[in-house]
Amino acid sequence: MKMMNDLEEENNISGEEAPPILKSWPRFYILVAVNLIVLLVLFYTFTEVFK
Amino acid sequence: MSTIDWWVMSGFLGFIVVYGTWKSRKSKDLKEFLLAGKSTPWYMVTLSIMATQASAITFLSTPGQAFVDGMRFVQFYIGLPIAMIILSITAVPIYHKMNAFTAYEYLEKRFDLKNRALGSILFLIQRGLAAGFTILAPALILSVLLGWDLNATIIVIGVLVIIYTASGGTDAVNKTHILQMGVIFVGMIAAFFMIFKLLPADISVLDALHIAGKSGKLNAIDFSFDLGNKYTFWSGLIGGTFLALSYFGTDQSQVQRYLSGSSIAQSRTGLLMNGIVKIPMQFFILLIGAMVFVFYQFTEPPLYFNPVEEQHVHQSNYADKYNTLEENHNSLHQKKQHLLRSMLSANDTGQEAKLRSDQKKVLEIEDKMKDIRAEAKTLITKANPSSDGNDTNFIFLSFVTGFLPVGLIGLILAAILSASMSSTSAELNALASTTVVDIYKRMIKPDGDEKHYLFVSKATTVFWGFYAIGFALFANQMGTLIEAVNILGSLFYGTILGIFLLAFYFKKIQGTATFLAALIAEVAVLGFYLFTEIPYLWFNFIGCALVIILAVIFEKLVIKNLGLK
Repeated sequence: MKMMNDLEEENNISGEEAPPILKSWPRFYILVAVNLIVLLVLFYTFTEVFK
Repeated sequence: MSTIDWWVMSGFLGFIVVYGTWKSRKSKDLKEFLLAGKSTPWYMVTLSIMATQASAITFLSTPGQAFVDGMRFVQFYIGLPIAMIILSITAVPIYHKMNAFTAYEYLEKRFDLKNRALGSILFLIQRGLAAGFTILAPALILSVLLGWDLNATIIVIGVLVIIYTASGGTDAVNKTHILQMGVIFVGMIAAFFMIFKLLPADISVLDALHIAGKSGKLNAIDFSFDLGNKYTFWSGLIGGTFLALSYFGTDQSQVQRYLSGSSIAQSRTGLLMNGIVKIPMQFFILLIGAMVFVFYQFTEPPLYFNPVEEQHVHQSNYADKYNTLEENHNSLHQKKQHLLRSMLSANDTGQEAKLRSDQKKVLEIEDKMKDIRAEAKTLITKANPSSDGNDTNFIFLSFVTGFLPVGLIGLILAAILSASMSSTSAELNALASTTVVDIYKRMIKPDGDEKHYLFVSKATTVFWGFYAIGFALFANQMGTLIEAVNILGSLFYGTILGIFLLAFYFKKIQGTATFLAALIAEVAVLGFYLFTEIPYLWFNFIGCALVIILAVIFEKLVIKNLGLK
């Protein structure tokens, strides 16, 4: 997380473009990671419920 | 196949070729031809990345895998989102800032020319063979199930792709990818809903899921750590991350997709959105396979899904034995159908003990049916020794052509052929880029003008197109198609990824140590593949780790002591 924030700061300093659909890159990375975790939980539940 | 299906399928494919050629007719220089003028928005990058990865094999083989083996294959993709984040942070800005045409240009900037040459040659070998396979796989299955001529199918698919890829380059590839992904989504969603419509009226969606789950087909997650098990959470997380890092970070057919993004932000967003959408898409395709399994619980399935091989065995000395197996299989199928209904009723009324007892009996019958299928496969291979005894790839299309309505068959065939064309076009485009930028322009003729390189790029696209067609025409059948492609990738990706990771993160390691380590690692990976039983996903990790460890050792112990550079 700290690394992502550092990177974000670095990007802002170098004037890099923000993502077109979220406010910052760290938020986007977190969204992708959270999406993966949610999918894993759903898959686990899916496997267990219909087992 | 009906006339309407022919019209739907050929109309769509014809439209793709005309649309792709027309929309991208203005390429004037190498940047426009190979990078679409760096003007692609993020959503197009996402669709293009997905279309490149999703070949026809994905749609033919994946549902069949779920039918036979359940949904555990989805774990193969667990590492993909992690790789998308890592590449967005590291590779995308590096490639963009150096205005690279190919990933391998970076290897020369960071190391030296020999590493660039090694990276690009490993890519050309691996991707050149894979391009032929991308055309061969669907042609093989379509020719068996629909009676099409295999060679004619290969040539038609190949030539259609060559026309628009050689004419419009990356812009044509990206633009046709949008249409191709559109028809793929529509075709798959339509097939999914049709399966439920074809189930008996008293079987609800929930019942279908219970049947699939209790038959062991909805096994999407397995946390056990077992090196002998190909698809677990851990192999997907570790092996899958390395495979995805290598495929998306170093394989030009993918790198070229996001290098065509209009900025770092557009390319990154394209990659990250792929990280969000890809796993649900694969899950959905596998679920289709699990539902086809449920469909065949209430409709008698063939003992073997490849009709040509069944015909062979029926005409051979093994016909009587095969007929007996068919009778036993059908009788078990009838018994299982009654048990499934009893199991569903026990589930609805909450009779836990009866549910478990019925489930146990269903699984026992399922095991007996598996044994019969195994015996049938033995007879099939005895009747025709050139057969691989694997019908996984025929299951889904056999269902489509046998049970779906007129019009939808044409649409799904268009989706499958679109998938084949979308992957092939990206591969030809990338093979041409690497050949021209990394080999021809860098090593053979560095002083040509833009017009000359544009011409050579188009000619190289045509060359690789015919190379792929030639390979497809002469190649033989190989096991489960989707696995064969992934095995081929895993043999080379680990080494290539190791070179790139050294380039990105090990600033003290120089070119000679990297080059030697990569050569030794590649030989070792090929040795592991030939002489051990290690599941192929681990080759990505092993190859990559070997390159890094050996390069560090060479740099510290050998290169410095010998004074080499």
